[in-house]
Amino acid sequence: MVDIQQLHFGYRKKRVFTGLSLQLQPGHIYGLLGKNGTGKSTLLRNIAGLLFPDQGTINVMGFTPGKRQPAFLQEVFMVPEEFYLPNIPLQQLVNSLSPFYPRFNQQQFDKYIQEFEIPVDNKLESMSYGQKKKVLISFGLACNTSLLLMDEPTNGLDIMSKSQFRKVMAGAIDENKCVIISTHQVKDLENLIDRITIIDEGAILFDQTIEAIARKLSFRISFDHEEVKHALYSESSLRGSAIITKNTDGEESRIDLELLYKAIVTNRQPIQSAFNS
Amino acid sequence: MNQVFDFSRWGVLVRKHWSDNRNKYTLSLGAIAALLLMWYGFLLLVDGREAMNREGQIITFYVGLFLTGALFASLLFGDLANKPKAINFLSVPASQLEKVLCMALYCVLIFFVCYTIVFYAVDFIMVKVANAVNLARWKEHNTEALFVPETVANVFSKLSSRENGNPFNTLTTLLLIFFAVQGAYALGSIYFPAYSFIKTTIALLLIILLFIFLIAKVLSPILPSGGFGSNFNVFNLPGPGNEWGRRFIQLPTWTDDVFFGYFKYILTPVFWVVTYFRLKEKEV
Repeated sequence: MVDIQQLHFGYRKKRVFTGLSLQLQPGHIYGLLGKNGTGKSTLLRNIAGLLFPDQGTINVMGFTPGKRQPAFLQEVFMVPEEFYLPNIPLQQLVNSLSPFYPRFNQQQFDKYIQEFEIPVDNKLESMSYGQKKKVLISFGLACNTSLLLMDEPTNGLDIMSKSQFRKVMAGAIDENKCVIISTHQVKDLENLIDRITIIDEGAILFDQTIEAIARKLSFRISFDHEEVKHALYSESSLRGSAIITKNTDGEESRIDLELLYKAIVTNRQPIQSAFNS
Repeated sequence: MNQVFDFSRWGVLVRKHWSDNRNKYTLSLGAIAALLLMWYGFLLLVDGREAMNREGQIITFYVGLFLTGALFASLLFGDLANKPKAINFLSVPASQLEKVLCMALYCVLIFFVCYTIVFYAVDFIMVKVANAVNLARWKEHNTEALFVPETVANVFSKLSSRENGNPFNTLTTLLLIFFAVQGAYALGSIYFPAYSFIKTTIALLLIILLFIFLIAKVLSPILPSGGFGSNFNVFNLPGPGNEWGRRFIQLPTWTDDVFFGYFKYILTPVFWVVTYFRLKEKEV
């Protein structure tokens, strides 16, 4: 669905990507993780056709995003980190924007709005930032585009809304859709994404499915000094040390995304070795 | 579905633009009406008798049209200066041509029609008010002169009977120049997303200055002593004893038609075509 080959991109004063390649398939929710300023939003905007690569190619469902053809745009919806919604009533927004998206489903939209507990009679200007964001997420999901790009979707959402978001997202994916969620709030994506891509300094540090991670790595709390010493990554806490080890007994543990993220960003070689063996 | 232009998709885009901006546009028209009322009110206070004469109405119409039209055009692609709004604008599933044509429709046609309606609504009221005020003054002073009430001026008519033979009178030419100026400001709103009006005005002034410089410093030293006549295709030369009007160089009249035809008809579409290509290469 998304095929990025040798992407080179840079702003006037800073190079962001130097030869990044990535393939994304439908039927998955991808988590794009990375520190602030590592190029997550830039990558999403390149995929959405809002930025043009300096070199390399991006192919999205056979389209070149930079051409911004209507047939491409109606298959892609982007929920940006900083977004704009006109100050009009909610239904007026739906009436004016939904005709552009052939698979928009009003019932689905109403359902999401209900799940997010958005007051439907309110004008958008009287809604809070979080409510507006939930409107945009609901609209994006109800458009049923093949590709949904979300840039820091949980920013500005309260704790309840974050769990509502995970619930709504889990029910919205099907085998024809591809969702890319970029975030630095790793915990928000737990139990939601099925593949993790970590980018740093314009390159892909780590790119594995959740299934492969669960098969190859083990996450647990340990009090055993020797075990902590030989762990691929460890982090001391009040209730012992959180560690990542190779999964040798085949038993799958609950993946601690935050711990994995820190392990890869600080020293990825030991983790990578578990996947190479 | 056509990826360059589809009429039904364009219609949806035009409706969406109206839905998103109708409050802003309605308020702006109200502001224009208020400004016109204030201006006419000021004229009535300063010069009650001549305030609403035909020339005054025509000048008010065109000055207001140029100022508000240029300001409106300079804000046309202002959304592109704001990242969230730019993403919203560029992500709408319509082609770049449809987006430019939608903006051109609002900027060129709808703005012009609405401005004219608002102008005439205010003008009609103020002519009535001026006539009532002037009639009261006339009765008060009980002059011998006949009281001639002012009428609502046709701002698109010929300025004088001397223009009868000319299909393009001064005012229609002014209107065509207005559309070119508006196109320049629309293009400026893409080139200079911030402070577009000021920057485009400066850019246009620089272009005019460059044009004057070319004539004064580059062209004049090459040409013999003399000067251009009423048209650019006539160059007057001094005759024997510095007598003027007997010797001149005249290029074929079509050169004059081409020169002014360029300003009247070509410049406006050129500005909009360049706007289209600038939009195509716009990034957020």
